[in-house]
Amino acid sequence: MRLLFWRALLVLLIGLVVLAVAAWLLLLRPVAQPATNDPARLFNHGSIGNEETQGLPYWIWRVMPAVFPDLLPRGRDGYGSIGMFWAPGDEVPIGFSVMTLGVIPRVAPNCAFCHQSSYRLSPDDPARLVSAGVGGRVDPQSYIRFLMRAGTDPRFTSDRLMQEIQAIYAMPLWERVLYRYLLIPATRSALKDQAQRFAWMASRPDWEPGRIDPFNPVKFYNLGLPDDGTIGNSDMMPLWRLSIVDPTPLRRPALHWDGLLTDLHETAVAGAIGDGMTYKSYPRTRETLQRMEDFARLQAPPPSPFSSMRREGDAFHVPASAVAAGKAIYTAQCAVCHEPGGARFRTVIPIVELGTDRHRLDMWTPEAAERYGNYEADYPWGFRYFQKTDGYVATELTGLWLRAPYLHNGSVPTLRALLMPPAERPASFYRGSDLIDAANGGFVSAADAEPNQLWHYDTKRPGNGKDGHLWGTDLPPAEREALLAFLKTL
Amino acid sequence: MTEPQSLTKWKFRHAVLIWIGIVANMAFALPLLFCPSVILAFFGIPDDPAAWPRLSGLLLGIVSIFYIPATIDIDRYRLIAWLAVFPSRTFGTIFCITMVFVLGQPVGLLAGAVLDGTFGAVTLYCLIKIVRLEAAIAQGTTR
Repeated sequence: MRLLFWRALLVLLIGLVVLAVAAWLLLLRPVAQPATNDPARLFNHGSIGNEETQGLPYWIWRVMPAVFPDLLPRGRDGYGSIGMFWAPGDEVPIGFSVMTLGVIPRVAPNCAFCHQSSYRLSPDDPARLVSAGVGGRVDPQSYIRFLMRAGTDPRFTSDRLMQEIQAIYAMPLWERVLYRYLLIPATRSALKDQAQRFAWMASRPDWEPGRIDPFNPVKFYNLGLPDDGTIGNSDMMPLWRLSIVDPTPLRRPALHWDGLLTDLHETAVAGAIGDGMTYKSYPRTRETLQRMEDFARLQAPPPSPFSSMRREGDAFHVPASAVAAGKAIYTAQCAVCHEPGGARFRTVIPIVELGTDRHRLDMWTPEAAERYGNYEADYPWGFRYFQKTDGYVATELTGLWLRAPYLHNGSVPTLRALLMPPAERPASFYRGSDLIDAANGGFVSAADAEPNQLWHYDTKRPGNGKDGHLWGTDLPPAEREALLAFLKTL
Repeated sequence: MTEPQSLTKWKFRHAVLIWIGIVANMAFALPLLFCPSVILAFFGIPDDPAAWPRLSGLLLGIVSIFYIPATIDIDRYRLIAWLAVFPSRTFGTIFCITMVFVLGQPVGLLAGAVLDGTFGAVTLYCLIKIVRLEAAIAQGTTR
């Protein structure tokens, strides 16, 4: 009897050792991604350390659109329906990393999920990828909803998914066992949890493509703050030439729409945290994040196609005289806020002065700023530059021709509309095209431009207000045209 | 001449003091295990992360020294040999496994589970063999 206890203990210890070794080797050991000297590839597909928390086993992720085609937006096929750019030859679209944990490759979103763009100069052009762009076609909420709904769908069974996987991949026995009895049930459970975590979205206006509410999920989940009913819907910002936000001895340029941070490195780390990085994965992710940060500091958008060098009659021709006159107006009226070196450049302009929609500003609370630094109680992140502000940041206009729609919430479709008084700006329009609107500056925003690919934007919905930013709206028509011509060339 | 009764008394007193010490230790050990931030805040001890791995390393070293007597004379220190398996190695293994799979701590803690689990299992196997051989010898079925 006495030996029976010790024998049982022996079996227990052996079992625990086997469990620990197997779990490490099969599921947990991070396998470094293939090294690359291509910073764009690293930015587009590098891991930000969120595979443990948000990574889906590759084959499950791969077949989900085939199993749940009806859960994707607008009845279109595959992950392309959420606006991702899928480069030829890549195993996943831009904005997804594939990293192996143990023996299982996992797919997770990275920074480029939101910070990517594409454009076409004419309807027949193939779309051209612009790294680190504004994500005008990307629909993060539809992706989250797709995962949530799939996880709670009765079709999410081992039998159904394995049937789809084995139709395209001759999976070896050991992997079949892992997928069928461990990975698929665990993924279903995780997606159900995610559905609960994002249940708050149902009580808010939809984010809509090209936009995201990036901090409310962090507030409610990571920071443990109560649902305060705020709406943080705003456009994705481009990450171009961010070396201009390097601090100087005299000032710290503000980042994010409302300037909630004044440090690029902390912005990169906080962004990765928001996407699922934890203090456990931070050590192995630190170098990749640093290289992504370097990429964003140096990456430039393509030069504007608008030029006075183009022949007259070309849709992208802008008269040299108009550009020169517009530049003078810009220097006199806009440069103080939008030109690096301007006194108000990358500073927070008070909301009472701007008059734009304030929902995004009110989303970020003093409590959130205070808590962010130690939301993982056992790990000191060392954040120093979170703050609560009272307005929105005046950013540089780099790549302005690719930044549409305009204002922080993307409520103004074109540059021409931005120079009009708010009452004359479109009350509704369509977003999601990557076809340049040569006449008005921005992307085409008419209902019939690309049926089934565009999304209706209603400026009357909460968070979508088109008011404010009145600079340039009182110009005489000729000067307005000149300023428009110059802005198109930025 | 020493009074036998006096010796018994002192042994008893020693045992009592040891138990008081054990209880006092547990008054710290259990809160540190289950609610470390509360006990640290109560005593106003700074949350210096480097201090706690050092303390753990020190305690691990001390516990390891206590394993030595059983290697010198396993018959005399048999109880220590069993204690090295249970609770020492066993709880070390369970602690590390629980930290990783239940409380979501870093997977590197599995190294502790493998270390304690492996040595706990192999030394336990040796002890079981020893006990069985001793029993067989006592029964005259082997030499």
